[in-house]
Amino acid sequence: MSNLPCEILDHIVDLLHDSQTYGQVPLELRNCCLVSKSWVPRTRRHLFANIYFDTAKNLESWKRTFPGPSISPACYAKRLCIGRPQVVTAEGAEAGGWIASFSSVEHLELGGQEIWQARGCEVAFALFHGFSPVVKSIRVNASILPFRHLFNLILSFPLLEDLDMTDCYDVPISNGGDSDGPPMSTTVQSSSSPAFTGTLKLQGEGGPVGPAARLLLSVPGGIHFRKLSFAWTQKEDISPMMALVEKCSHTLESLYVWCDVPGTFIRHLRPHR
Amino acid sequence: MFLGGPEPTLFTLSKAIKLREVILWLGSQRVEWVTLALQTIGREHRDLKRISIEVHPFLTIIPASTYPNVGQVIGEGNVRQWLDLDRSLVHLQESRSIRTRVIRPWSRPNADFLDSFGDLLPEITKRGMIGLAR
Repeated sequence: MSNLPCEILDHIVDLLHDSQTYGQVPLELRNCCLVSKSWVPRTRRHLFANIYFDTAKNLESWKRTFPGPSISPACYAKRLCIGRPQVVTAEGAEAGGWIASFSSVEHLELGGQEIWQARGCEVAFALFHGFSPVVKSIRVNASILPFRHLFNLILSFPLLEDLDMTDCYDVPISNGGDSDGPPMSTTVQSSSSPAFTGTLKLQGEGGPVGPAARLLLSVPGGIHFRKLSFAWTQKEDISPMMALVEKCSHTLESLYVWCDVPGTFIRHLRPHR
Repeated sequence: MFLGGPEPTLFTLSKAIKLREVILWLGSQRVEWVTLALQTIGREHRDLKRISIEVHPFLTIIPASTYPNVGQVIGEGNVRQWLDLDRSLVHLQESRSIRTRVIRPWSRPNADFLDSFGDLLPEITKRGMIGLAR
């Protein structure tokens, strides 16, 4: 094997990865890491491509296993998922902390049936600001969180193309950052913004998606999405969604519209008598 | 797009001339907004070859035995909106070769689905101008 060109060995490892079923990493691929040091980098590229931290315990386990950046495989991660805000602490902001080690992440996912409190959210999101300069897509799923903090995070990635906000709802925040007191005006604070040239997915079956749309309409550099995918159930969302279509009209190639405003739709029909 | 409220708004696609694909999910018996949106598609939309329509499954499982007339279910006024949409889709196909594709619910066999759907969009169904998907 040692006489084989490294390109061939790389190809073998890639094929092993391609053979995975139902997201399970094949045992053979894991065993590749044990063959020799020269096999480790290529194997790790696949083994650690997708990292998901859903609990603090989960993250602690990662940090115990890989205590320093020099041996951490975080640099191989292309997709990083943070399931809960409690996972993230200020400790991560230290030089050489775990967040900074994920410098090659292209896809960031946040959320999952969670309410992100304003203060915790502000701290957590600040730690992630621009942590990977190559982030191309962000997905925020099923969460209730302050959009002002979220959008400040979103705008910190200059190469961001795709944004997916599915069932995400805004939490008004006060001047002090808590959810009590008079709400601050929710506008985008950053002076620059990503190109936003990919896909925008805004979907909300349980609440308004208009606030997210309005924030996107106010980003400094404008938006240039090629694909728009909208789903809404609130009558007041119609205008901002149409404004998004208008704003992207010069680049728009694909449009998906799903609207189900209560009171006008077939599901509310009763059997005919 | 007119969906009620004091200031009805038109969903205009006239400036989006790079459009290649439009997919509309129709969960309502009211489809006037779709027809109006499609009417903003002009000759400049050279890349647009297909409009996909996905309908709420309830719209396609109306039992003919209980409801011999679809108007009894969705309202006569709303049937007219569907017929207008039908005419718009025919017009787009004939004048600009923009085909209609209907995305069929998983649970519905083709024949049953077309039978129910034919009441809503009779002309394009009769002329075989629908391409079923799924």
